[in-house]
Amino acid sequence: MEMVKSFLICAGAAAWMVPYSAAADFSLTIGNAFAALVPGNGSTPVVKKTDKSALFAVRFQDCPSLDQAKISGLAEGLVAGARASAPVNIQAAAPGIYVVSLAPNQQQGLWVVSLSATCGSAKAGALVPIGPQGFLRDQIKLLPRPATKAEIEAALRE
Amino acid sequence: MKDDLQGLPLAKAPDSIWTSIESALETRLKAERVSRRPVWIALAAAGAALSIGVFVWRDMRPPKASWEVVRLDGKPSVGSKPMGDSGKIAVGQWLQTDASSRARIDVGSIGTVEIAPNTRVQMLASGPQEQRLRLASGEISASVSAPPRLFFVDTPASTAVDLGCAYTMKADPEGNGLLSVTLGWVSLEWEGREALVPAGASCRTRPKIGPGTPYFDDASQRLEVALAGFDFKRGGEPALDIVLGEARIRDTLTLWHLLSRVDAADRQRVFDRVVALVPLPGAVSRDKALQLDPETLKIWREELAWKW
Repeated sequence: MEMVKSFLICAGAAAWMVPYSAAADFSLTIGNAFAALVPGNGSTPVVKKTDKSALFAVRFQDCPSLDQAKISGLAEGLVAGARASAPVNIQAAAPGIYVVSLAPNQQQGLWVVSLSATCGSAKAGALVPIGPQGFLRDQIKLLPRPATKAEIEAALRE
Repeated sequence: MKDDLQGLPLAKAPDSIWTSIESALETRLKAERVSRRPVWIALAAAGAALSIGVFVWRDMRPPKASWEVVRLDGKPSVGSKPMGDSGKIAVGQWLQTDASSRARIDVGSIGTVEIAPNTRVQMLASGPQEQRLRLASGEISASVSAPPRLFFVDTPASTAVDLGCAYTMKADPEGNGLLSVTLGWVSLEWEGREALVPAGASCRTRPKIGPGTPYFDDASQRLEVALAGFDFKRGGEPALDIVLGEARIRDTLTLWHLLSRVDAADRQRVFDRVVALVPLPGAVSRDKALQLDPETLKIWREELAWKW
């Protein structure tokens, strides 16, 4: 009887831990904006209206409870040598998938998009540098938390 | 006999006889009137209904589908007549530009198609389920914001199906085509053969063969040439060797398409190259991928798209 009780307690604890252990691996995936609109994945055409300014797509990885997922972002830039910050537009394309775009007046200067995401209590972040032709895939930094000010400044100077 | 009759005395007929005769005649005439009435009434009713029908049809019929056309340069022609600054193109009509003219078609409210010089296009359909254009030769640039599979461009070697996109489509007089996508996705389809082309990628088409294999515009020149050889000149294994050797991570777009286009003997090689560039996702079964299971290939493509 004692063994059964122990087994049930362990099984219950394991079941309770599953989402948290999965969320512990929570991270972001960055890709081209069209990855959020893969044909056949049920993406809505509403995202298309932002496509021309869409920079990239971001996906929640290993987030078992997408209803508790949140994402925000800020464009950090150097325009004519002066530091600037600006909001970015983050539009949901599908559960856990978003399209990120900059405002038209952010075409000048150097910009890095800093993303902060949460999945329950788990956190993730990313720094996505923007070049003249779009986001610079090779220079993306994926983080297990939001980027610090120092990391943002360093990314702008790279 | 005549004499006998003349010898008979004249006698006045009783009034009742005339009454009977008149009554009999009246009955017969009435019967005739009754039997004729339905015919002419039916004819009159049919005529009236036809007249009303014609008027109603003329008033109620949908206007002949057409798109607005704007002249951008030179003197484009619609239906063989030179157009002014703006005009319309109706279903079945052709729009043609010469070496110095350009035009723009407004495809309802879903987008625009720019017609480059030396181009011939025909409007094929305009309805809630389908907007369709034929590109006979020349070049068009389409920018469409509509639900997927609403806007189609027929070319001599394939149909370009809009999946939410902007693109350029060229067709030479021999029917050879080149699609270059600048936004979203386009599906090139021809007799069951399909190529999914995302922004930044291109795909050639050939008459009687259909769409070739898509490739990113920044792929190496060697890959592009070898791919054309493989697709359209029976380049076979030597061409495939070059494509596999030149492929980068994002060229898994090309390799993913090749999986279902190579012989079974080469499929394993293509599969191995894709997996060497991008590890196989957990949700994708190696065996099912090699068996070309459609759902498995779809899941794999959606994962690979994040690397393209």
